[in-house]
Amino acid sequence: MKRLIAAVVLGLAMAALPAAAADEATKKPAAKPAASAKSLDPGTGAFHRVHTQKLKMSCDTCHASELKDVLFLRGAEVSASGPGPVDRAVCLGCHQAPAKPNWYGATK
Amino acid sequence: MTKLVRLIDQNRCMGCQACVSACAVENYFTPDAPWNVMVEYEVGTYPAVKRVYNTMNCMHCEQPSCKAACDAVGAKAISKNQFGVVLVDYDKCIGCGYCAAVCPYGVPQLNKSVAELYPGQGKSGAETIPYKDRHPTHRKKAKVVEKCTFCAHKLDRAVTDGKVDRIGKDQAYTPSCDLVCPVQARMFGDIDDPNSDVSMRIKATGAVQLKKQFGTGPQVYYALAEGAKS
Repeated sequence: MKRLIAAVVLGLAMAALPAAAADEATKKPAAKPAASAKSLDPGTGAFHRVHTQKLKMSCDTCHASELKDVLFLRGAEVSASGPGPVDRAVCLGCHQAPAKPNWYGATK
Repeated sequence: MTKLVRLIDQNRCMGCQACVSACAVENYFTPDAPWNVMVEYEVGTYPAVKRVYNTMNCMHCEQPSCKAACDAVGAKAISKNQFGVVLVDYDKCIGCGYCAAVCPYGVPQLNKSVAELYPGQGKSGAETIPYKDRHPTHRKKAKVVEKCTFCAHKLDRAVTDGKVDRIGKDQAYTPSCDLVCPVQARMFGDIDDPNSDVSMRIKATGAVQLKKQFGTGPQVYYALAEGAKS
């Protein structure tokens, strides 16, 4: 009898497992991208917010006053009235692991 | 393994932009989002000055910073295929522009709208191919990133036809920009084959990659003109 009860309990538990897992999966929110089309907006975008508000960096730390780097395919995108392009070498000052560039997270 | 690379010889290039035009027609890039651009600058001191022509397209880096950024934001729209070609999946791209921000070569183009190659003059050439019949890299979308694909539609055809060994040799399997150069300043092929024309010419000319300090391992080599920037 004890064996029968144990088997029934075990069977019920096993049957409930997939349902519980499915419930968990439906409760879990779908992976949300960490960025949006507005991430690069100068005023409100996360890219600028992290560097200017959180890290208190001034604009000219990253933005050169003139285009020094001619080997840049989108050179034409730099407007005369804008703050100038970002020299990617400045980015590497922080975003670089010892052996190779690691653009996100390696700002130790 | 087959690792496809391009060689551009600045000592031969005369800046005619035939490669730029060929790319525009083959891949019908929209005017605001070119895949291939001719950068020009002067070197030397007067009167000994000269003009350097440096055509730029995607470098298809071995450690692409664009892919690292895309993976970091969770979109995972950028991949590298079996030939080392870096490709953007337009259906996965969320248009955040992070790849454009981190690329040291300024390659990724955030396409604001899908425009005709010749605005107001109707569709031309490959633009007339129905959307569903196009190669995925040609199914253009607004507000996603696009860039040079090493003419992935031709490379895929080589795989389908079982002619991978003819890449860089036959017109059907070679990027259009490399085909049209009137002075043979461009070459395309497998660098893992030490006997390929591109391997031997890279060695013979001492060609180098641009901006090696970024450590991304570009798969485009340049035989630099005297005084040219790298």
